[in-house]
This record gives sequence, structure tokens and C-alpha cells, in this order.
Amino acid sequence: MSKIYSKFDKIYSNNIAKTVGFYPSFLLLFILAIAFTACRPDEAAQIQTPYSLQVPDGFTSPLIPDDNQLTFERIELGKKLFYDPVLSRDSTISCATCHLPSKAFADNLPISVGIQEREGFRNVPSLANVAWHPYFFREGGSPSLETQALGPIVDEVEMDITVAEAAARLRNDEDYIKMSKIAYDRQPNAYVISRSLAAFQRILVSGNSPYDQYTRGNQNALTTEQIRGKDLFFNQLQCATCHTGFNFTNYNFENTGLYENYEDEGRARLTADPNDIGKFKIPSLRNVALTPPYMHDGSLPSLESVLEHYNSGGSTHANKSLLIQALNLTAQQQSDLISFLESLTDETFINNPEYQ
Amino acid sequence: MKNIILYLCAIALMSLISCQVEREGCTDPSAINYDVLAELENNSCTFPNVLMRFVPMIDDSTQLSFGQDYIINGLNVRFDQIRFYVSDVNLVTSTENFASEETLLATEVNKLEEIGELKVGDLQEVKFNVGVDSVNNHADPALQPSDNPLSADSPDIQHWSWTAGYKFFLIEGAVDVNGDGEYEPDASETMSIHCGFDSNLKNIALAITEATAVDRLGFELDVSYDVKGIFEGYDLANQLFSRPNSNPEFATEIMNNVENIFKIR
Repeated sequence: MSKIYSKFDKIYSNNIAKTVGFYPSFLLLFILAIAFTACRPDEAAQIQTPYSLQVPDGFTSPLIPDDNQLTFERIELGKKLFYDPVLSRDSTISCATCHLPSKAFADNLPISVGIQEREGFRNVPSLANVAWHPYFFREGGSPSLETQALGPIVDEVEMDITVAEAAARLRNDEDYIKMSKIAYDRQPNAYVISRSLAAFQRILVSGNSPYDQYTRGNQNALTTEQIRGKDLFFNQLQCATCHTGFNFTNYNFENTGLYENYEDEGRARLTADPNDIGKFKIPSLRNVALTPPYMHDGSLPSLESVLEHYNSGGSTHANKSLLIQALNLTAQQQSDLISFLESLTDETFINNPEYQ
Repeated sequence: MKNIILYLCAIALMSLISCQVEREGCTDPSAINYDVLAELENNSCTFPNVLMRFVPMIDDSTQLSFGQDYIINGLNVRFDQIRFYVSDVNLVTSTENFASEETLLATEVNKLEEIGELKVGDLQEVKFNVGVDSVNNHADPALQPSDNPLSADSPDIQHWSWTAGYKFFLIEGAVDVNGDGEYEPDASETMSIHCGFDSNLKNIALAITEATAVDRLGFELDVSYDVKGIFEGYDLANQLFSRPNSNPEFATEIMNNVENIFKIR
């Protein structure tokens, strides 16, 4: 048997030798081409570094889409885009123009302002802990951070540019081309823009406020006033029915009796259901003291005015939540509640260099 | 000599066998390359391409020119854009019920768009939707193929990301509301009506009034739409602007009219 193999090997070797003899340069090129090509499919995967999201104690793990698992390279690309005005028509504003790190990735204007001072029609929400939100925008029409990310870019009163045009700009930039290739193995396009912006926003985690430190056992993290306010918030009033869980929201939609007639119809804008008029997604209260003015239209300038609204029971509206009733709080109780809300400010979040 | 005889016998045998092989080819009479002699289908059939185009008409015989003035509901009107998504095109012929998977975006360019291959036959009915079905309407536009008008990579995409939904029907232009012969450049005379939402999806069914054959050379389907019909009973002077957060009822009115503006040319 071994004799047969030896004979075969000999013939085969001779043939190779002949080929090598006749076409040495061709063979060399062929081998190099295969070696080069073989490396390419794994290139992105080899270079990418998985990012492990630090989930604070008491938080659940967020759901992250299979096609957009977190890596340092995706986050870095998203961060670069987030701060780059290239995504606006006249290259004057970026995502960070409205979502300021020092304001918990919101701002202090009643209504957002887009390019050429175009006025939007709603107050800017904070981006803290958006990884846990099940839907986006105040009527909840966008089902993922990926789809949400394109909204402000194309909106005519915000950045007012088509995604195709924005992507074309990025394809003229060597850095973006290289980063997109590594992060998503493709040229800059809608997929890359939406995924990378979503990846960056997912790491914006706020879970180290004095309130968090207190719940983890640091009894000195809250003042006496704040502890009284916490007791009011969770035990004596109905605040925590809606502003519940580690993110201080149940993500439902409620009409809080802000108006008798809503110019902005809220969720009804999406559903066309009259029962949804005036209903808006319940916001998280994390870092709330940093983000005045308040409500969907920025109509209440301070936490005091917000408490006054709830204390009075608000306006009459057919869709108003039954939970909104006059509270008749004393001045001390209102002050305690505000102190508690201030304890949700997370200094490590707003100063985190990883986000800036 | 013996070898020659054997050789000839082999050739004769091969010829005999080859005579028994059935001819392969396209056996579908409705195909472009139908082979009348073929007995065995070899899946080589190709069918006529169907192209579709939407043509705006200002009356029965005049095609609308964008940028020009027309009188509609007693007012001077100029159209800069009329664009709408057409989906689920369904053509019923004497030979098949053809359903296209392509979504078209009808624009002012009036481009012929390929919607698929149709078997030769007589056209009996044309059906399509103006708008996008709810599944596609709420899908991620970044995942659509880049050559699809629903793709976020398409320069023509009409999409509201905040609703995860498309603008089904879009009208841009100007209306001389005060009748001074000029179009004010501000909001008072700028027309901008964007219509979307699942509830505004319109199913259109057009009967074929004249015999229309799909032949082997292909087929171009021209569908005209009556621009004046879009504004039938519509208060054009006072209903210039519509978005979902601003006068959405105007869009609903427009879409209800859109249901009745199409016909086969």
C-alpha cells in the first residue's frame, strides 16, 4: 500500500515541480493573493474589542441588538459622530448641541433649536440610561435607538439633511471610512450612522447619584431632608407609580393635566386615537435637577413649578391620569421632595471623560 | 477492416440514441423565448419586462409641468414636487395574477420603473397601494436594500423617523392666496402637505376599459393621476400646511381624494 502512495506522491510532486518550474511567479502571486484574501473577512472581527457595559447594582441588563453588540470601535465612531456637526445641513450643529454632557445630555432651553435657529416643538430629553428605554420620542413612535438616531438628522427643524447626503460627506473623510470599515465592515451609510450613534448612546449610564449610593448602604449619602423627600416620593404619594424602577419611569404614556387643550397632542399624534391626546412618555427623573425647564414643551421653568402643578392637581382633561389629584403638600414637604429629586443628580455621569 | 465496422456501428448507435433525446427549451407559450419544438422544460423561460410610470395630468389631455402656474379651485397654484410611494402592485391578466415586490416612488421625473416580469396575456385589472403597508412602514429603513426608495440610503426617501413611518404622499409648491399675481415666499402662500400613517394607506383598483395586451416585447403601464382631483372640495387657500403635529386632518382629506385620481392611460 505504501508503495502505491509513494508512486502517487512522486507523480503528484513531479507535476507540482513542473508547474512551479513553468510558472514560479504566477504561483507566488497566487499564494499571496490567497493569503491576503483569507485575512480580510476576519479583519474587522480581529481588530474590534468587545465593550462590557458596566451595569450599576439594581439595574437589569439592557437588551442590545445582535447586529449592534457593543465594541470600543463602534462606540468611538458613534461618539465622533455625536459631536460632529457634519451631520447637519449647514454643518453648524451636532447631536451634542442639544444633548450637553453637563446637562445630563439634555439642555436648558424650553424648546430645542435646530439649524438656522429653527425652533423645534419639544423640550430636549436627557439621554441618561436610554439603553433601557423600550421606545423613543415622546409619543413612543421609534422602536429602537437605531431608528431614533436618524430622526433628528432628517428632521427639517433640527439637522435637516438626508441620511444619504450625510453618509456621502462621511465617505469623503478617510477617518470615517476607516472607522466604519473596522466597526461595521462597510462604507459609511445609514446603517453605520444609525448603529454607531446608538452604540455610543447605550453606554451613557447614570447610576451613581447620592440616592444610588444611599441604596447601596452609604447612610450618609442623603441628607435628612432628602430622606424625608424619598419617603414622600415612594411611600406617601403616588409619584413612584409612574416614576418607578431603577430608571424612575414605567415608560407608559400619561396625560398629566398640563392643559385643557393640547396644542401638541402627544401620543395621539402617532395613534390618531382621541384617548391618547395629551399623553406623553413618562420621563426618567434621573438627573432631573439638571434639566430645567420641564414637561414636553418646557413650559414649567423649575422643579418648584412642576411640584406646584402636581400639588394643584393640574387642569381638567378627559384623558388626565386618575393618579393626578391635588396633593395639598406643605411648603416643607415640597422642599423635601425637591431635595430628594436633587439627590438623583449623578456627578460621575456628567463628568465621565469616556462620554466627552 | 473489423475496426472500421465496429467504429461505424458505434456511430450509428450513438445517432440512434441521440434521436431519442427530447428537445429541451422553454415550453411556456407566454414567455419571450417560447420554443414550439421543445418538449422538456429547462427553466430557461424569460418573460416580458413590465415597466410602470405615473404621469400627473392637469386635465385629460395636458400633462402637468412642475414649476408652472395652473388654476385650481380658483387660485393660481405652482407645484414643485408631487411624490408618492406605490407598493404591492398587482396585475391581473388572462394568464396570471402577478404581484410585484417592488416599491416605487413616483416623482416629478415621471421615470419608468421596472416592476418585474409578466407572462404574455391580456391585462384585466391593475391594483396597487398608495403608501407603504404597515410592516414595511415600521421597519428599520437602514436595513432596506440601498437601491430601494424605502432605504435610508436613498436620497429620495420620505420618512419620519420619530414615527418610524414613511410620508406616503408629499406635495410641495405655492398658492397665490391673496390673488396679487405673485407667490409670497413665506408660510402664507407656501404649500407643504405631507401625508403618512397606516390609516392613510390607499388601495387602488383600476379596471381596464380597452383591450390591453402584454406582448413579448414587454409592457409599459402608464397610470395617470388627476392633479386637480387631489384638491377636490379642498380649501386650498386655508389648508396649505400639514404635518402629523400640525393639521393632520388636511392630510387625511388629501389622501381620501387620492383614492379617486388614478386611471390607466
